[in-house]
Amino acid sequence: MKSKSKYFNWRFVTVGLTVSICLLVIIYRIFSIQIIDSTFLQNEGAKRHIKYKDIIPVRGSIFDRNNVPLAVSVVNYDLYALKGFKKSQLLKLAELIELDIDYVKETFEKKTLLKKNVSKKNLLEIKKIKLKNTEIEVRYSRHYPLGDQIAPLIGFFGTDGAQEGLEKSYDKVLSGVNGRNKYFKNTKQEIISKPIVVSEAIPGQDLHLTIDATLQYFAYKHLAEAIEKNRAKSGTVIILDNKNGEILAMASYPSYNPNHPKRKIQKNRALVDAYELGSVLKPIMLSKAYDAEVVTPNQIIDIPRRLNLNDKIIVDSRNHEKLTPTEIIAVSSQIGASLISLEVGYDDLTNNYYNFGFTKPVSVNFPSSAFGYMNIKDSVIDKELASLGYGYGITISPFQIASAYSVFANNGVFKDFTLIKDDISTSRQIISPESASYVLKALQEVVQDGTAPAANIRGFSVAGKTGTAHQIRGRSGYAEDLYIASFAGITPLSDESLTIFVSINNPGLNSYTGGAVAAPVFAKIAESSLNHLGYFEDE
Amino acid sequence: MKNLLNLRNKTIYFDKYLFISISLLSIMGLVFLYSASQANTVVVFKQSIFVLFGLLLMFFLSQPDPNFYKSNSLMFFGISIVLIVLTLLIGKEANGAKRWLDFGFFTLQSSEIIKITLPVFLAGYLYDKKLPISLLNTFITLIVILIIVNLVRIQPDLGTSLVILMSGIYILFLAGLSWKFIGFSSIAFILSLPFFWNNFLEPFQQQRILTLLDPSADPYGTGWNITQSKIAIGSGGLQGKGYQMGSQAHLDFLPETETDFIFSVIAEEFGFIGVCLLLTVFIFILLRCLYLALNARDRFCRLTIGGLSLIFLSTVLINLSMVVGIIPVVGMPLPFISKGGSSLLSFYIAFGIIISMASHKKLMQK
Repeated sequence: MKSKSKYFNWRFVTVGLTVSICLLVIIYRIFSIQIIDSTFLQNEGAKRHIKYKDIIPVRGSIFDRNNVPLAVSVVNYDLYALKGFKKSQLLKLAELIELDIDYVKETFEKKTLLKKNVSKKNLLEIKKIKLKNTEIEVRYSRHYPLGDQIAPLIGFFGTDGAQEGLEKSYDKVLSGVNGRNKYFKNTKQEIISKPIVVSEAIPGQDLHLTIDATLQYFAYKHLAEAIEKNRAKSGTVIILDNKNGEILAMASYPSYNPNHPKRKIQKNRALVDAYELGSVLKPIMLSKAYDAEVVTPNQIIDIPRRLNLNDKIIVDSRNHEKLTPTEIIAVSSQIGASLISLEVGYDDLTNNYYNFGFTKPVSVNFPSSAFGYMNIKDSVIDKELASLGYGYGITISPFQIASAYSVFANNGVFKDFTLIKDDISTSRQIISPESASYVLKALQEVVQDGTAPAANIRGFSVAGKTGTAHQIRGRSGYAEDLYIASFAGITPLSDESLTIFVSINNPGLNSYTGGAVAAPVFAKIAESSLNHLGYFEDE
Repeated sequence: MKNLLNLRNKTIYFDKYLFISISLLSIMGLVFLYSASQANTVVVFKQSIFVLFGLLLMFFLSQPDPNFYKSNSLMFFGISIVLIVLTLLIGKEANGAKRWLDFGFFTLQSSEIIKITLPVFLAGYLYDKKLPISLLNTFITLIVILIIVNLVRIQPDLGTSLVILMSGIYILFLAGLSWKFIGFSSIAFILSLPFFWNNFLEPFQQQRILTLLDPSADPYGTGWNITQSKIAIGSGGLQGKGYQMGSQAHLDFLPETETDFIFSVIAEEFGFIGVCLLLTVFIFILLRCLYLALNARDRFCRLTIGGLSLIFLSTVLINLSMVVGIIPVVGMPLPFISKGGSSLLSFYIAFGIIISMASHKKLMQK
């Protein structure tokens, strides 16, 4: 018995040892999977069964200064069929609402759009019948109540995101912060759980503009009418509030309907274009001449019949013989402006232009806004200097020239005009107040006895300057028959005044001058705006 | 003797260590199954009936004297063979396998029964043979084993047939199979492996083995089970994700969560700590069995306890090795934990017999 027992024990020991080794191997294996490879395997698992989806917050709205909505997000409900949705269910649904699809299989195999923009009434009905395998997706769509009136400024937010205008430049502010939803997927990678919010979406902030929707309407309407009437190609209008340094309107034509899915984008010509403006720059040159004491108010300047500078012959449309500096502005004498420019000199002239904000980035945050270009040279010949004085050889955006003109209304203070209500407008003195009021007087003469009688408004004092610039054609030179007609005006000449700049490209009829084409538009816009804003007549 | 309880002058045969640990395991199994079945109360209810019935069965089977099993072993063995043959003839087919006999209220997996009766029969046959066991007896035993194994294999049920083969060989080994024979047959076995591969394994079984060698080669095909199981076990980490929080199991990534892969669910939800606790219970049961075998009253009892507990052990080891990717997926439940009727009951029967063999010791020593 004893020996047998020993004999047996031997075998039990063998079995016991084998078993122990097996157990140890298994336990080590479990240990290595659970402890050593744990993180890796956890990630592997998460990859297979967790799906994250962004929660898109409501995009912020854009309002004008009086809270008129310019861009708003509207909630839409889209009805989708999910995998497993049956034709019979579809037929049931079709009795309730009109669907967007006509051809179907017996059973849906993937997520399919059944109806876009389900009305709230229909939504309740659909919820009532509790159809399985359907999903209602919330989608925001962007609407622009003012449509084409302001489209080039606001831009639009389409299916590919913010595309243009302020929608693009303020996209970060407007879009808010995406939230995150976590879903569990099953082996077929289908979402099976309700969303678990990982992080909440933060709604976009609203944008309050300094724009006045009514003034914008006036600007756009009169601009559009004038362009149609003159068979012109395009144009822009800017209205500035001189005292507060705010932009009240910024219209650009042609425009487009931002609400239309197949919109044809048009640029914002007030900010994106920069071109040679011609005579409109003469008063800016004069302001420097006054401060540099090159001219005095009562000075009489002899105006020759023609002026020959480096083989370039400069002529005026009429023989003026003798003019005061302000008269040079009033009649827009090329020869007079050339003579003063030569006296002012290249350095003073260009520095003055810099001070007026030309060729410098603008204060407005707008996509691809232009800031113009000036041909800088070490040595400049007379004809170049002269032409710089009467507005050639430098490109300026409409917004820049409008800002520059407000300096005359603001006693020589330059303001960085803002488009966003709470932005603070910075300002600096760039010419003497005397110079400013002197130029303003010259501008008044333009309207009273000069090139722009059409800019007069009954009851309000107006100062301004016309410009009729040849357009550049290609690289070679100027087109004789293509003009840019512009008018920059200030009205009324009290403390709280508006600067309005009108520019019309390629007027197609016989009248093409700033005085004939742009000045009347100014008058119409100014009159409507002043009446709307409740200004008291000052004349 | 503490293994005896005296109730109204009637002797009750009982082993409290085994009884408590098996009951504990069964209850743990119900808890795990609730989570693994995605809180399916019907499944858990059905399983708890099996557990209750099983515990009762175990209790009653531990009452008869070992001689009852010894003298009737041939009859039990014969009935099991009849059931196996019946299964082959009129069995219920499911998933391409004919493994079940339908009794209306209960479907019996006949191979689970023969898994128990074969070792008992062999123990009864071999316990009084001279040592070492003669070549003739060895061959008789081997032929019996191989016939049974083949009957189960053609169902096909590779997992169970392997366990049956092992149970037979355990008995042979414990009964005193000569070391020479073991040596020669091992060499012969290794040499014949290619032959078995080509002739005995179904293509899907071959695929399972190939997959085991490199599961990442085909992570979405045959390697899917092992990959998902490893992810589940690994995501459990040290502490686990918490009861019913196992994403692998609850999102349908893990296959067969209620049966073969229930261990992965446990590992994911209770972590390494939970796994160690569970294994402790299993190891405790095994140590107790080893103790009982060594202290058994005679060779028959010792052989039977040894054989049956080795079957239990093999099932546990095969299941664990399978879910952690050491061996191919063969379809083996985790005893007392996995959902299942026949296999669950077969282990209660086995332990009932074990307790009978162990607790009747003293009476026979007079």
